Amino acid sequence: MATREAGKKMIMLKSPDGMEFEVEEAVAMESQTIRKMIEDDCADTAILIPNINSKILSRVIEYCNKHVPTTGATGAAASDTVAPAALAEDLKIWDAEFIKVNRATRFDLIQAASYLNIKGLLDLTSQTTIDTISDNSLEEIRSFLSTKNDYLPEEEQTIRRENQWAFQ
Amino acid sequence: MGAALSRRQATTVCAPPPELPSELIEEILFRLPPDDPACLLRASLICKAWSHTASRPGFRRRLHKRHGAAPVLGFLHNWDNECIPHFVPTVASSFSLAAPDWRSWQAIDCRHGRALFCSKGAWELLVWEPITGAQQRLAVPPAFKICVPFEPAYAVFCAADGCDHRNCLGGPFGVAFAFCFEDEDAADEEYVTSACVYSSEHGTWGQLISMRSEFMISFENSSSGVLIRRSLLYFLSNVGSILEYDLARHGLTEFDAPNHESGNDAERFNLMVSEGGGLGLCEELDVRLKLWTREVSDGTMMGNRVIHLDNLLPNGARMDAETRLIVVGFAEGANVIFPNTFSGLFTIELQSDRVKKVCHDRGSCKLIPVVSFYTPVDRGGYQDLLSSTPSQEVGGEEGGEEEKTADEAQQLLDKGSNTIKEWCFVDTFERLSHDLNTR
Repeated sequence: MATREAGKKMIMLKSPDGMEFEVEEAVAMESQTIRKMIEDDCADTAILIPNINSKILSRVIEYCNKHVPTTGATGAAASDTVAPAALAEDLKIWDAEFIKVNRATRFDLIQAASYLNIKGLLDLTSQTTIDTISDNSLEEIRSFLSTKNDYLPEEEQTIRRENQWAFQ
Repeated sequence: MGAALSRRQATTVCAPPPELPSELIEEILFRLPPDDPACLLRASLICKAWSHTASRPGFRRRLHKRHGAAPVLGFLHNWDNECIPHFVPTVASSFSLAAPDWRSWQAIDCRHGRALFCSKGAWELLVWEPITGAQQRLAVPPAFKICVPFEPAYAVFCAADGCDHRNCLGGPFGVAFAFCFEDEDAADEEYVTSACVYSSEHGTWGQLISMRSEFMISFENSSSGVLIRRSLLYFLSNVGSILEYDLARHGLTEFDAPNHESGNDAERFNLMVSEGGGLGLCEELDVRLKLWTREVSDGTMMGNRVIHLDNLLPNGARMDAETRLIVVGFAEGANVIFPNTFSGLFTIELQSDRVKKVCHDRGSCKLIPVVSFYTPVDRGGYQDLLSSTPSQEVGGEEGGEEEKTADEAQQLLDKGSNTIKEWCFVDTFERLSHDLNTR
């Protein structure tokens, strides 16, 4: 397992509810939004992340920690001893556990992944919704999304009638 | 975990959002599999916000950006069989498009999200957008009605300048028309081949251009044409010659397909787009296919690949050697061919050699593949979308490339809004019920 070494550049992320998270710069840079701020010298030592509360931000950091490339300055990386395929499989299992959250948390994670521009997390969080759309009836999808149906009954009926193929 | 937490304030302020904002709905929608239109249609019926997101013009651009080439949604055919709908889907899930009635309209071409039909028994053409359902009718060129021509060739295409065809539905289109007739007064080269283009922007046919030849050029039973590099249209004649119609320079040229013997053997050829984007040709040699590419420099045809169909197709998929009609279609834009066998119709993706059985039925004539991303029609009305600002529709994370096209998109939309007013949005339900009833 990779450990944080002395001398690594650290950066402070602040959530709007006043929590501070000290993370390695490399971990923070998993977010393309933060990467750009750092590269543009907009980030000094602390970055305020608006709209993402501490609970979600800590989960996002957890995800980035797991997914940051593991090659360190000493070269003693996990990939030296573990085959890449096994690492990928390990990550997949880890991701599956990570995303076992309630709907509200998952939507917050989607929003956070989108705002912070973390492609892997966005793919992961979106995929559960996609699976639901692919495999379930309309009522089940709405229930899963807690979304209110704002079609008039006759409007929905017309769309269903014109597109019977999608409901077979 | 590498994060060190310190707590300053013990307050939680953010409640979970009641609904996903539209940009995140889009994040989810454009990840849905493009060869499963039912997923997107169902998603659009969750609520109106999802429907609006899935049908926004910018969403089609994102689909192209994520997935690359559009999928083959299915094909139109002229099989003269009441039991088979005019549009046959080839995607992973159940799918249908309310195509114009096959009893009145014969499918002849499809490109850039528009399909072209000619009426059976009347001099009329119909352009149909499979995704929006919009239709527009036009008469054949007046000159075609005056002479006694042989079977003509047709092609439909997007006519917007510099368009990348990722989002040009409802925009201006052109229809090319080429036909040959006999000039009985001429001593030699008595056959005259003429061509012209219909412009939807002007609502008229353009100037007729003509060339004389020794032999007649007819396009009966031949495959549909191909469009190469924006302005070069190619049509295959019944006798194995190829007509080039240069739309930019208004010129006609005729040349022979390679290895063709004189006689009606054109059916063993299919025009294609080569790997490099130039004119390609697929020649049937029993159960092998030889792919040719036309050299841009000198116009010679070079054989560059042989496909052994009996190796690629599954065991038992016997070819119909008697009619010699093996390849019945080429999907322009997707690089897919349709081989016809006794056990049904297959598709082969030429880049990957991926083979898929797409239809149990089979017919003895060429078919018209429909290549497009499926997006549902917005229930708020398609015209409303045309008036929305393209900077909102095509912007977002794509950055430079999208910004560059924003002005272009505005021009297209401006042009398109004029065109779309003339389009006829027919009652799709009536036509769909017919198609469903015929199953």
